[in-house]
Amino acid sequence: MTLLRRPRPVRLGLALALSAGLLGSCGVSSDESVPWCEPDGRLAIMAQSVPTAAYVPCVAELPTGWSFDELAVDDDGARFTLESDRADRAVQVQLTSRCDVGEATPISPSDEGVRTYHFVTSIQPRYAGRLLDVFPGGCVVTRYDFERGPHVALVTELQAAIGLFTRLELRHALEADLGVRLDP
Amino acid sequence: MALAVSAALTTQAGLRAVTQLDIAILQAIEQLRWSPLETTARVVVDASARVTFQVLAWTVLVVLLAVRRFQHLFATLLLLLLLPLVVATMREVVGRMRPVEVEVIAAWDGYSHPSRPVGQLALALTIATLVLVPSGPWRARAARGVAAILFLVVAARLYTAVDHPSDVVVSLALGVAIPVLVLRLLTPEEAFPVTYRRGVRAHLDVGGRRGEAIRRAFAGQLGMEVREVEPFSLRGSAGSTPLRITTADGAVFGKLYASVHLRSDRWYKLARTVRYGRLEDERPFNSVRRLVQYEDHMLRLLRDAGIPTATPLGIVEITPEREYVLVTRLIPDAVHLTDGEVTEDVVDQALDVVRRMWDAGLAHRDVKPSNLLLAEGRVWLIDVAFAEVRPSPWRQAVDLANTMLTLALRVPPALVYERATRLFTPDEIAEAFAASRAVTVPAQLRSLLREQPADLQAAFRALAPPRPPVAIQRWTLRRLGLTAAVLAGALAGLALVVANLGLAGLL
Repeated sequence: MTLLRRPRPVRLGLALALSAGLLGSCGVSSDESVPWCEPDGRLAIMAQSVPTAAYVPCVAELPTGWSFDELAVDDDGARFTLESDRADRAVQVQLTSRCDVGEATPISPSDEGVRTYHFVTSIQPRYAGRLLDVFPGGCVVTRYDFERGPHVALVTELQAAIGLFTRLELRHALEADLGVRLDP
Repeated sequence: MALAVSAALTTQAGLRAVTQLDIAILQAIEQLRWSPLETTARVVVDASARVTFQVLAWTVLVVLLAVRRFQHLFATLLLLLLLPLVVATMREVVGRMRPVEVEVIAAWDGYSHPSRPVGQLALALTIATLVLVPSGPWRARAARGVAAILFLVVAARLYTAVDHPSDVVVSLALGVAIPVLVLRLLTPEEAFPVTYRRGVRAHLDVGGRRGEAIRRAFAGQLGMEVREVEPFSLRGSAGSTPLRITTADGAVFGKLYASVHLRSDRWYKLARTVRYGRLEDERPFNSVRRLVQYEDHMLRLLRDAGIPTATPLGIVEITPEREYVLVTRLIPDAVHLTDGEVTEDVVDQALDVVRRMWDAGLAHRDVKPSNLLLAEGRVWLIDVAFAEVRPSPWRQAVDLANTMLTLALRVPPALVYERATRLFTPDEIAEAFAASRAVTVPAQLRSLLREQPADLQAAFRALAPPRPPVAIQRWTLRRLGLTAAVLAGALAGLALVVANLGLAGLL
């Protein structure tokens, strides 16, 4: 004589599971999505975003108090942000096909074949500027804007946190792991 | 299946196997490239961008809000907020690159797996089809249209090689299957039909499977051979589906109660408790069975007290704990009291009904024109679901006021007052109108009173001895706590929704 078969526990369970998922999703751990300096899909898609770039930026390490926020990548480049619990503004790391070094000061290169520059745009009241890694076919710009005080340590930690991964090594790794060629 | 594919992509062996298969398919498709078609494909890929999803999703939400289908609205909101977040999480975890070894010839954004544009489009279109299009041929046509759109978008995305085949397959599975499953569970068609006909939402369709089930249940439980089941006198009913049931031996009256009515009763009583405090017994029923049992019991109590009401014939179970029909005799040729000829005798009968309830220690609590029937010059009181035993004098006074107001819709208040003084003291009538407020007047009666040129409540107060108004608001710790909980819950829900709108791609 039953007309409708709708077991209540299932509906309730589903609603609870969905709600829990909704709440849980708000706090998804970002650790899984960090583009570490290891050959994987994250670095590969950054390499795809600037097909000419000989290097892609990556996270070499996350010093204490630092966290990775978000990677945004499209067919025109890639950006990710890092945050420190001692900085009120996030650091932005951007991969582009070209950049203008302007009056930036050359400093010790980050990697072989890379020209690295530092351009300080402000010393007082905040310490702000750009680190530029220029390499064949691309450029990585790291923009920071720190309060004075912890800024010296923060810039040092930032330089240690951001690495460069060679396209060549990435290509070899993808061929070995997935049997595919990154570039035509 | 979709989750298995996604899970496989998190292992090196799985990723290698799926990627090589994907690339082989994309390379085969690449062989079919033709310049004019490439341009078209790019246009389709661009059209499947996030803004399309946003427009579709917000349109569905706005339409649902406009047509006040809140169950569908909440289920849709849940899906629109949750599924994109789940997909975003999967994209982050899998972190898949775009296709390689083929030329990607359209714009792309973000990780490849699952395909966000395909998933979002499938989700929005599937929801729109299920919550906006009535079931039947229209929905079948809409489903075919959705399938065609999705096919076109998927074909364009594979043709331009912005997605892997496995990306779109998983997105389609999630974007179609999950809304179908969730909406079927949370808003089953039988209980929440998609319809645009005017009328009270409490009125359920009694055709199809439900109609068949009613026929079987009547035959099996009451031994009645049902020939026809039709909605009946829907105008005055908002808390059930009233039915005229024609049997081999004549017609009977039925009130179909379902879980939707139980839920309405709960919300109605919660709202009253928050707005006014516990005016009277506002405890909700905890099952449809209890609700229908209670009304059947009250009908018998009123009958035993000599109050003219519909004779109960029994309860028919359609679906255990979910749907029941309360069966009574049909009062022949009955019309709403305000639709019939209201003579002095009719006025006396109606007031006598109230007097008898007072004497028997009963209150009806829902006296209004549609619950006072007139048949062959005789007054009947029906719909006793809110009736109460041993109510407070205040509650009984409200019944008197509502009866007098109902009568005054057809005859002068002075006449009603004069006849009332034959059964009630002027003080009792004064108390009735001191207790009468908007909240104590049923919505139907309130609406009819507003249409009157004169203020009938004021007219009765002028006729009765002066009396200060009876306070309505009841402040208790329970009410304060409940109000705080409702507000906190609403704010938390709103904050959760707002916080997730951006993450879910709705902003």
